[in-house]
Amino acid sequence: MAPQITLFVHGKTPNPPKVAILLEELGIEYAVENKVFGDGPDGVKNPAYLKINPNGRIPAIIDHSNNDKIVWESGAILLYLAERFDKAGKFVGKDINERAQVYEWLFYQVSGLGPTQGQANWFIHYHPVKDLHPSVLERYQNEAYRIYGVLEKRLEGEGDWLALKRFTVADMAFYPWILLYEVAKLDLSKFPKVQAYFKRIQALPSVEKAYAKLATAH
Amino acid sequence: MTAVVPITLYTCNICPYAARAQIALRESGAKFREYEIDLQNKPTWYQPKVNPASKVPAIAVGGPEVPADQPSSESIKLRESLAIIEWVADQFPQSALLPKDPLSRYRIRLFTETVSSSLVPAYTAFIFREGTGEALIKALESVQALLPEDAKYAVSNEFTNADVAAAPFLGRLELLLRTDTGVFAPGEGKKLHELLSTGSKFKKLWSYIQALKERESFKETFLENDLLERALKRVEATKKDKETK
Repeated sequence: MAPQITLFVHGKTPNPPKVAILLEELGIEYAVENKVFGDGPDGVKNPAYLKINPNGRIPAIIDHSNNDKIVWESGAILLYLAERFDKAGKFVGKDINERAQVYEWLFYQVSGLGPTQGQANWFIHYHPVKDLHPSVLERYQNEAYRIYGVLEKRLEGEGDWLALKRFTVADMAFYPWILLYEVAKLDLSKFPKVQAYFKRIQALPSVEKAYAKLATAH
Repeated sequence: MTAVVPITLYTCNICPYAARAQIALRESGAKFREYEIDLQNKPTWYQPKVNPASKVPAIAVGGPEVPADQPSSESIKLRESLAIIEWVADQFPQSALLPKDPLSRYRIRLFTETVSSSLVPAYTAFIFREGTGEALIKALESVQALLPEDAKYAVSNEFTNADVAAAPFLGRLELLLRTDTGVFAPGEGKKLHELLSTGSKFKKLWSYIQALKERESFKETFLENDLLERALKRVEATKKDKETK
């Protein structure tokens, strides 16, 4: 059976797995295509790809079961796929109040942890100016720790998952970023509930399959 | 008509023995309250006033209505998880935790004895001490051998004290193997989980574990994240201990 979805990915970056995990949970057939930096034939800044994602980043999807509808931005893709394939709202909430709770935590990852931990990564690994004042990196690491503290407290009160007491797109959005904490030179030893939460998600069959699938794109 | 007497269950949310009492009381439909005891930081009144063995679970039943942290000398104190769940079954026979016929009761007691002498030590050893996978597999085989061919739970289609005794341990075992949590070499837990959950060797046991996990009284007492957090801490501490020796 031909894949319903084509998912554009790159290496071990943490945003495509959010989408792959949801696709695995939904049981949707999908193909992964690896993009690279720059404007070469497979490059994210190539005009052909910019037509798919004007931001020139991954993930993006093409939904072949919906007239090749294109969607970019990981959060938007998650909500689009939920609306298309999760009518019961298992992963996104079944009514307005449930969905509000999921959206809170999903948007918190997308606006909070993603950019914050991402900037920490940038200044550690990619910033061209060396010997930066330590306060630059500290600003992003401290903000990341603040966010992990919010997650820790949430898990203390709420138990096993961030929203609705079940596995939702909110968890799918956070997990791939928590996986990469060492890249940002963070130490999660002060967040034992986040660590347990992370280990439990890591052991989910859909998560294992998603990462295995992404690894085939190279 | 039986008067409703106050029942206070002293418990701890990560303790599997206390979980037995929690599950049995929920199954019984009895009115009761729970009081959490921090096992790392026990209140000074607990051992003299509630349980001389200083463990959970313990129950204070009867006596005047008092705050849970000021137990009355007039209430009767119960301890030992397996004795407690028998008391729950006897006190609340509508719970069906202990059926009337001798053969079923025998089967429940045999299953419970196997859990105690075989499963619990092998589980504890494999996850937290120097236990081998082989010993754990043997223990799981002996539990599986007792499961009836065509019934949902340990002795019948009814949820009984046999299931109450086993559920907290089988639940924890499944969680810790699934997340590869233990003092064993990395991957050993996951391998065992695969053996348990796929293929034919443990098919009966695996579907029994699923049935237990779906029971409401079990779900209410099984806080996965808290349990894993605690197990990770304990495993870390054991590993550190070994390094400093």
